[in-house]
Amino acid sequence: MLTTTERLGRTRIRVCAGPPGGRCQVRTAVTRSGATSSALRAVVVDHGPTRARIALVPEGALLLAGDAVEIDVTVGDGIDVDLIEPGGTVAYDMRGGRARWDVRVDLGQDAALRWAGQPFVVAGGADVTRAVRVRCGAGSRLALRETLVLGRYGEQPGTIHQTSTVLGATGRPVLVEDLPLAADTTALLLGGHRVLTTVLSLGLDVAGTTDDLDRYDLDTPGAVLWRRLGHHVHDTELATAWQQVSGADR
Amino acid sequence: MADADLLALLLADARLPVAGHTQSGTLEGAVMAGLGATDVPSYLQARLVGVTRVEAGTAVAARRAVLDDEPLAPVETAWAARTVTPAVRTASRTQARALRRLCGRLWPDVVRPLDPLSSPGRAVVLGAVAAGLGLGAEALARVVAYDDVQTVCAASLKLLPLDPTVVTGWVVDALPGVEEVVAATAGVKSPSEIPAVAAPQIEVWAQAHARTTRRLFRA
Repeated sequence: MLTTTERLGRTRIRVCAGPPGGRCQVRTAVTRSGATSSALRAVVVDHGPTRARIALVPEGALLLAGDAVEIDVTVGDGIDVDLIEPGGTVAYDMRGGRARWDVRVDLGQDAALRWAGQPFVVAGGADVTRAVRVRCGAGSRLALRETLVLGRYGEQPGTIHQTSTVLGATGRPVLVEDLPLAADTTALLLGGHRVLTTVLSLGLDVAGTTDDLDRYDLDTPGAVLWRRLGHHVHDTELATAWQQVSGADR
Repeated sequence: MADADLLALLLADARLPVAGHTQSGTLEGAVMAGLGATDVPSYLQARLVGVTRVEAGTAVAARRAVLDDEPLAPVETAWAARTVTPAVRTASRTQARALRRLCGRLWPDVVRPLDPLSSPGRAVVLGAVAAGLGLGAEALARVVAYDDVQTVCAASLKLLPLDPTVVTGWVVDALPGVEEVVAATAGVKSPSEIPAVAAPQIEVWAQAHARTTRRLFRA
C-alpha cells in the first residue's frame, strides 16, 4: 500500500527464455516515487541460455523511515536465476516512523531461484514490516537464505513484523509464517537470541547434512527448512545446508 | 445433545482418555535446554503469543468448515504449513487419533466430516467435533488455549520441584492471555485467516526433544 509519506523504490526483475540458440532475456526496471527514494538496482552479472546471475545493489541509504522497498522477481519456465546481495541491510532508528520491505517471487514451471540473502539488521528504534511471498510453479526449485539480526551489537533491537508465505504449484500453502518481533515478544519467541538464520529449500530431495540438528522437514514433500538461533551471525551460518541446496545439480 | 458448556468442560478435562498425560507442550524439551522453574510463566506466555494461536485458529477454521459443509483438507494443509516442526505435527496427529477414536465411539455422526482425512492434526479434529457438538467458536478457542496452559502446568509438576498451588496460580495468571487468544482467533472464517505466529525457540526445543530417548513425555 502506497501512502503519501512513503518513498517507494520498486525493483522488477523478469527473466525468460531468449531466442533459439541465444541467451535468456533479463528485463529489469526500477521505479521510484520521487527523487529521494532509494531502491535496489538489479545488475546482471552474467547470463547464458537458461541461466542468469543478478546482483541487487542498493542505491542510496537504506532502510530509513518512510522507505518502501519492493522487489518483484519472475523467473520464466525452465530458467535458473541466482540473486546475489553484495552486503547486508540495516534498518536504522526510525524515530517513530516506519518502513516496509516487500518481496514477491514467481517461479515458472521447472524454474529455479537461489537467493543467498545477507543479514537484515533491525537497529534500535527501527520499525519494519517485511513480507516475503513466493509462488512456485510445477517442478520448480527454490533455495532461499535469510538472516535476521535483532539489534546491532550490544543494542536493544527495534521492531520487525516479518511474514513469509510460500505457495506450491496448485496454490497449496507450503510455509506460512508470521514473526511479530517487538519489545514485548522478541525475547519470548526467540528465547533471548539475537540472530535467526533460515535456509528454505523447495523441490529437492535433500539427503542428510551436518546441519541436520537444525533441520525441519515441512509437510510438503521436498520442502525443507533449516533454522538456527544464535547470538552472532557466524554462529548461525548453516553453511553446509546452504551449500547442499544451492549447489546441487538439478 | 447435552449442553454445549458441559461438553466444552468434557473436552478440556484432563481425565478424558486421550493420553493428554503424555504431552508437556514442549516444556520437557525446554527444561532439557535449561529452562528453570521460574521461567515457566514466561514460557506459557510465549506459547499463548505463538503456537497456541495457530492451534486455536485451526480449530475454529475446522469448525467453520464443517458448519458450512466445506472440506476440511484445506484447513489441515493450512495448519501443517504453519507448523514447521515435524515432531510437533506428529505429536498432534497421534493425539488426534485418540480423540477421533473416542468421539467416533460416542458420537459417530460428529466425526463423519473427518472421513476424507487419513491423519489430521488435533486442532482439526477438535474443531470438527466442536461443530458437531454445538460448541461456539469462542468456547472452542477457549478449550484449546486453556488446555495448552494446563498441559504445560501439569507437566511442570512432574519435571520441576514445584508446589501445585503456585502452579495453579500460574494457570490463573495466564487466563487473560487465554482470552487474548480467544479474541484473536474466534473470528477466523477461512484457512487463510488462521494466525501463523511462529515461535522459533519452542520449535528448536521441540525438535531436539524428539531426538532424545531420555524423556517422560512424548512431546
